[in-house]
Amino acid sequence: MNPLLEVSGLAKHFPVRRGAVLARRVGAVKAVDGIGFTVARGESLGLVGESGCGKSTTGRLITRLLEPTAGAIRYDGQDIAHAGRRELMPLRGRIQMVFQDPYSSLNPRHTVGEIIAAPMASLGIGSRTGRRDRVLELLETVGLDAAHVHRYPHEFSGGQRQRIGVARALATEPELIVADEPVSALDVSIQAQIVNMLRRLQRELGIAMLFIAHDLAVVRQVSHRVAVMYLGRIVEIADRDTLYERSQHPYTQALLSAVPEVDAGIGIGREPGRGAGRERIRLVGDVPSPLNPPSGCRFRTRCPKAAEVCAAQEPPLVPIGGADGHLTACHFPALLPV
Amino acid sequence: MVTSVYDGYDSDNSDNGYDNTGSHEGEEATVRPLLAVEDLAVRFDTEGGTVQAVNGLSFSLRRGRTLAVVGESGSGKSATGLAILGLHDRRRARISGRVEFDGVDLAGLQERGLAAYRGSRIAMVFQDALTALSPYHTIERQLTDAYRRRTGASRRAARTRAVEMLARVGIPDPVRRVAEYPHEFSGGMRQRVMIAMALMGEPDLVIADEPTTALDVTVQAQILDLLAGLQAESDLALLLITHDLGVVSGVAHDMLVMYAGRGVEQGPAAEVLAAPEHPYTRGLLRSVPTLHGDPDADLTPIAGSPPDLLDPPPGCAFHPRCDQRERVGGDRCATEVPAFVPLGDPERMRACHLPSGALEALEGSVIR
Repeated sequence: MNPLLEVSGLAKHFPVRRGAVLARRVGAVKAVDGIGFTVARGESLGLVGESGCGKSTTGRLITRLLEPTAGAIRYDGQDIAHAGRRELMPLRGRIQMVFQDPYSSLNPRHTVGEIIAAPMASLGIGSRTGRRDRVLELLETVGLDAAHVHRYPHEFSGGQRQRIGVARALATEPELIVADEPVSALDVSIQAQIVNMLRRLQRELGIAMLFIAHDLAVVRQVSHRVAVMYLGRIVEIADRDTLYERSQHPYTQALLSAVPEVDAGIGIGREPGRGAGRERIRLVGDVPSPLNPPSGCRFRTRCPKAAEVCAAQEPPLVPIGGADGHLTACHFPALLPV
Repeated sequence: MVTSVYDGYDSDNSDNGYDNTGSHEGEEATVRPLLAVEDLAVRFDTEGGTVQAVNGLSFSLRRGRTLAVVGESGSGKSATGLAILGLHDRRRARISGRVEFDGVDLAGLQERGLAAYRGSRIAMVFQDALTALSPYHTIERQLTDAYRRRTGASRRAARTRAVEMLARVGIPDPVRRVAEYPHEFSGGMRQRVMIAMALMGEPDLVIADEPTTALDVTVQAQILDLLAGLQAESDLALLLITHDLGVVSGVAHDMLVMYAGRGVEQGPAAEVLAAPEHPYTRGLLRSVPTLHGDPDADLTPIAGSPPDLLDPPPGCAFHPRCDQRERVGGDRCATEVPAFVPLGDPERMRACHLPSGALEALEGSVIR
């Protein structure tokens, strides 16, 4: 069966201009620089990486809030990479987005009912009364009190607002939801509520999801497969268990190792700062500028394994032994020694 | 190690200044804490009414220790950090209680008196280095200005010190970089600059408010290592304000959990994390997704939402969200504020009506 979403060679370069009046182009930020992946119907793909890796830009390209510089975005067989407003209109209801900030993504002057009904109204879905009934049903689906339909966003807490954002995304019965850091602005006690809800809805309603986040533990809860991005490229992609337990790319391994966790190995009187047990990989330096990425492998400037070949040649994203669909872009892929 | 403030006061009577209880693992620790906060309250008058951001908080911190103050938004953790240095706007915030630093009550000092402590004996590191540093001045200027004013050091001597501090926090090529502006630094490097700035005055106490929250995870790990290293080598007291229990586990000796402006649980970090005694602490620990839990099982959130500080719940502020209130019986949780009291061991404190050990008996350790 064809995937619902198939992305290939996708790139977005933002021009950098200098000068006020006669601005001339002096370079480009290669936010996304040639990536490819698929999402099957009903599948949840996690997209992780640090700031500036291009994960949010990828989400905005797929929802066509941005137009790509190059590459194809095939949605249900149709290439929408350069589709115009009119062509995109019928797709708007089929692909929806959930945003990070539950404060700025809801119009403060509209009631919850109006906010959730808006996508249906603008696409001409249902009658006025039909939409009203659907709004009440959606409020219940996301765990909000239907009696609050006439309230305004400021009357809700952050977690409740994110539920409103999810209800709005569900309103048009989409096949694909792009969720961009949907829980990172929330307190931990609330994060868990929203993560559980997203996972339940994704599975129960069979909606495909592109879940974009920097938090690897959160992504693990909601994704069937996971892709790791670094400086505009995908460096590793695999099914969830393979990625978290048998990753072969040194960047994935470093990311996983850097997550501060309440350590199961802690004992009374341990030395703080030495979190017992886990072997820690410490990367040096910061992510380089996407304006001028390193030659060859972009990760080589921080990679503990970097050799000459890494500066000369960019490693292609290729299948690696073991699990099906496990791809990695590294000249020296290897499992971490146990 | 956190001792209750009362311990600190008892010891004032003994002249030797050393601990006699033998509870400090054989260290020759002076018993009088470096910082003792007692009954601190911070209130803000707003259009909607009075917000009790901090409500009767007491804790203490000794030299050479890291205390993590943990809580979610609105818990009062940041307001506490600002109150210690008197950084709240005095027209808007009403502050009461004692903030005793090395024997001096900072809460009783005027602006001029406080200025002698800020940036010298007590330094602060903020979450967002981009807004905490001035974009108009070089790193040298920002690191040396206050230092020169305070010490009267020459420009050359101050620059030498600034370069030393930049090197100490791991900034490569510090001689060149000291002349640059903040925007020329990456996020992680800016945070290092802010830590270098805090170190300029050789502080005894550093208050770090979410110092790594704005950073990427690989850079966060570097900064946490740096803070832990500096703390250990220079006998600093570090007050680390954070929402991240993983961070606490990695760097803190002790922790204080806050909810709705009050302390709810306190003790050695390893003990609190392994066997929390307050339902809120346990709830927080269980709600955090981990890399080793069962990814196919639902997370265990805390029900409900954080309290409205304009109209906090009566009794225990956590009671509307608490899964243990039935075990207390009656209406106690909704009517009576539980006292923050020691649980046998004076270092282990808690504010809950449940009997001590009740949570542990329920299911053992929460760490999977």
